[in-house]
Amino acid sequence: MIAKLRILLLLSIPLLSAAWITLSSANVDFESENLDKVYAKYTKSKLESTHDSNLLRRLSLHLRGTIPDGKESLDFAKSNETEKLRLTSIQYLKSPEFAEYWATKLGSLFREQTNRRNEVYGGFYNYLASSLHDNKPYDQMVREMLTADGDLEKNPAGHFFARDSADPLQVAEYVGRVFYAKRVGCARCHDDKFDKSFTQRDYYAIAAFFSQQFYRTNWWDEKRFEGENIPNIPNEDIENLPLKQQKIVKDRNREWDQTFWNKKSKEERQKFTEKHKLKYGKLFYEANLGIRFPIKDDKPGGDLVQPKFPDGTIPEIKPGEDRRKVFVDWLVAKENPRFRKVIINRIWKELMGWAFFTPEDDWNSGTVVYAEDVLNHIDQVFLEKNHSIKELVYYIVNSQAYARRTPANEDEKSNHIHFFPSRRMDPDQLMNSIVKGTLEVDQPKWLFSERRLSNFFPKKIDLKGKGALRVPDKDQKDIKFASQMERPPRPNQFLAIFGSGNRTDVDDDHSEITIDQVLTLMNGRLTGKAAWDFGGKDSQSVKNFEASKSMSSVVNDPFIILLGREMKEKERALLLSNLPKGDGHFERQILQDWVWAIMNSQEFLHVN
Amino acid sequence: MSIKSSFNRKEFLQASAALLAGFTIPRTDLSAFSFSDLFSRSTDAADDLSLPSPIKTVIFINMEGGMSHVDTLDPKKNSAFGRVSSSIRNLSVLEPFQKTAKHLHKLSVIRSTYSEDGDHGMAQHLLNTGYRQTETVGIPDLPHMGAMISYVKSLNQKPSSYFPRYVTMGGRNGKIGDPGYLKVEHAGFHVGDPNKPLSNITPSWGKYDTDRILRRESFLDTLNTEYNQENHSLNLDLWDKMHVAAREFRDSDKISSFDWSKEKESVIKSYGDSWQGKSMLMARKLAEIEVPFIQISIGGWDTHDNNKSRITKIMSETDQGIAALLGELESTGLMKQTIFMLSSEFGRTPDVGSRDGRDHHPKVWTTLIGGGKISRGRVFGETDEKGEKAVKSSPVMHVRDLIASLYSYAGVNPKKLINNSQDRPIAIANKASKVLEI
Repeated sequence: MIAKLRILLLLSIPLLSAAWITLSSANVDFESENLDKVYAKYTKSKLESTHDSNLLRRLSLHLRGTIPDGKESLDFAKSNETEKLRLTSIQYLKSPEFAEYWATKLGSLFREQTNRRNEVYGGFYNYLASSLHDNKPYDQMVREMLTADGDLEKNPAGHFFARDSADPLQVAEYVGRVFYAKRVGCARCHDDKFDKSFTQRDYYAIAAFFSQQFYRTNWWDEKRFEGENIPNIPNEDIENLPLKQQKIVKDRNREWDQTFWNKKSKEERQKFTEKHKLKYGKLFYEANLGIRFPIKDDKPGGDLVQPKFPDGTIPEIKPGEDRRKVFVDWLVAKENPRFRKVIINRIWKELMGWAFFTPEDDWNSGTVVYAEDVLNHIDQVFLEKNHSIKELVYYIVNSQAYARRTPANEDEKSNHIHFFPSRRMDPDQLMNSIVKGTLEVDQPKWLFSERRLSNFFPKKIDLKGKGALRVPDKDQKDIKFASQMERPPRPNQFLAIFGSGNRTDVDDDHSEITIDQVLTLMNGRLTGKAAWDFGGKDSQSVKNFEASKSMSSVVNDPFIILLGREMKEKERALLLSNLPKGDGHFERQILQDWVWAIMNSQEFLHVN
Repeated sequence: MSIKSSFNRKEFLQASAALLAGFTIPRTDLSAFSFSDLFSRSTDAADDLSLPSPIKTVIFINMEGGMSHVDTLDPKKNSAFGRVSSSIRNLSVLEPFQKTAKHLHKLSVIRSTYSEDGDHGMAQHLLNTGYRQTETVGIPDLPHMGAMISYVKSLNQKPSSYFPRYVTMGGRNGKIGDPGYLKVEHAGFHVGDPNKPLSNITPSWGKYDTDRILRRESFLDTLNTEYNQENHSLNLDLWDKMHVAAREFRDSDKISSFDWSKEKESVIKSYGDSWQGKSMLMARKLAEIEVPFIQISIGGWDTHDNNKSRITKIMSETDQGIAALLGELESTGLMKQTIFMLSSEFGRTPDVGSRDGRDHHPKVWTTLIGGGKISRGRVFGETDEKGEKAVKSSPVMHVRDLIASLYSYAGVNPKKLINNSQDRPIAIANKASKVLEI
């Protein structure tokens, strides 16, 4: 009886699944088609798609910073599942790899550094990765970063301010560039000679939004004037208080010295600072703090600058109100598309290979914006999706525009809108792919993981991440993922050679190709070890040969894993012509040489 | 996209280029954008762009961060160090440069270098290209002057297998190493660690004989040939070229010039133990094989605090190397065909009371330059009592004039125009610059 039921159950599942597919496909809104409609305005003819196995490889590298798993590309190409791209993109977006890889990108944007004094080791990176993993809306992330207070361990969003020790002038410069694509740095010392509409005072007016906080490390007596309504701030900031308050603070500080501090012995003082030690840096908010315009010969100065938004408009701020909150409200408001478009531009460029405007941190009156209708459309979508980066990525990668093929001839080379421009892998993609494709190949799960596409297509897609994140850990000895590496990398490290930047300037990764990179791939340690260790005693290659008794079959595996395809005829012929004892004799060195060649090939090294 | 009715050349060029090329977008990121004449620059004739000059090499010491002039080369009352006399009569410099002081008669000392840029990034941009950053907003692909000198000199030479023509050591921020709209072969070749200047010329893991190396390269060639049948992207072409260049480099007999350890013990010792010293020794060796541009960027000069101790530290490692380099350039005769230049992106405020720190000061600072036909032992310009600016009667040299003059002495005609990636003619040196006699 039970057996019969079981069989019935087994039989019914495919039917149910089919029903689900029909139902769900009827209900699913094929939104990305709307993107394609707008995109079509900028292409003279219909777009052609790249083939499936390459599309999966492109998707995996873009979303996860690594090549597909094992035979995934072949399975994907073979599958008749109509929703396979959507399902795979959901899976990728929920993976830890997405958060790890895209947190590295955000890290480069925010000059995140793993190991900074008084900060949590990897704290900022962890915050960015967890936020992405949880599908936290981007405007919420920005709000958290720009209104952060307190201890960095408890509020890791505060690492954004800590990066510049919460100095209002520094913060103004980076906030301008990173969130608003406005370079204001020149105006720190003098009126902007290029953009006459932006003066030094305007620069200070942006800084004024971030003047109500200070950053302390080492030790700080937080409760010194508790209950007294007197600003408890560092001495160097006292001049930035209103004059009346300055006197009160100075008097009270003097009194404290006379009645308390001066009476303490050296040991007592040491004990006191110990008691108030700060394990990590801490951000403090003081409503009365401002910033004074510098006093110069040629213009009025010395006053507390009134805040003004980067677009020149004046905010309404009540006395004592947190100006940072006022700034963020303005920045992320629905009526301020520039904030959204700045991040959209970056994400779009990563996925599509061309940007709406460059440079990405300086949108000025001379900037030309390409395909503006597409940008405006994406902006609408981003707003509808409540600033979810994952949803935006999902929307873009499921379009025909994303899936377009690479140029097939000389004439097509320069038209990036129509044809996907091959792009060298970035250092993270490269490191992850080499490690995954070679050093890990001895473990069965990589080579033989069957991709089972779920037949269940959810009506409401939940992109919240699943799985633990791999992040920098001081004690970690065995590193497999680029996300675990410290940033900035040391100059002799693989990531540095391939361009991972110093994180001293916004987005300072080097993207140019160098001879050093080519030599590192040809003769360096990572590829060297990967090739030299390949095909050892307990490897999958040896196991494959034991079963197949064919070198062609064995060498075919690295093609599948690293390139997502089988060997071509010419490649197979070359292999056979170099096997002195024929196909049935295992030649480890030949296998290794092919692995080396694949790792150095244009096909492998580029996102196509 | 529309071409606006009020004619704006910049917008017109960008818009029309886009329409013609199907959205070929101005490049700031080589890996994502097209660069149509990257590989086949319309051959500029050598005659057009060069000037007669005995110079084969320029060595540029770039003190990054803003070298305090009153604490190094221009003694004043409130200098943090004591004076030392130099080999130029009546010219003193300061203790940090005491060894180099003995060689100054080989150079000219420009005391009145100046500019308007007090921001590191912008000032380094000016120093390395001759253009203020604000002047090149529409030209993101402006080349570094090293790439420019390398390029113009290459026009006179037969094309040969790849060997770096522009070498960078030390820092490489901003424009350093950037070939801009010139060919990738004029990009700076960076030596990160002078103790190991060339890595990965031969396999660094495993043992391979030549046959095996050739065999695996034949596998690679097949893979690439096959792939290129159906895939044509600019970046694939670029990679292909770099691969050819890498092999040529690996097989070149000139790479021994990076191997300073082959020098006599006494010579190695004379440059000192520091990375700066070793870099200077390599610079001499590269000058011997006439590498057109060698840049050593030494940072740490941004002494807003700890001015004295930081300068002491940097120069304790650097002074010896500079002195040894100048000595050898002279004794080998290389000075006749090599320009040596030492400068910084700005000076530092001389008047700071008792504070042990100075701030950015682009109003005046000192440059050293010599070699070839440049005057020996000449002092150009004079600063006021405090070292805050040039005196009224003094000739002055804006950084753009310095670079234009450098080009001229190095055999590059600064007035000539070259088309950039969008076919805009760009003058080699800033149009507003003057060539001055040094």
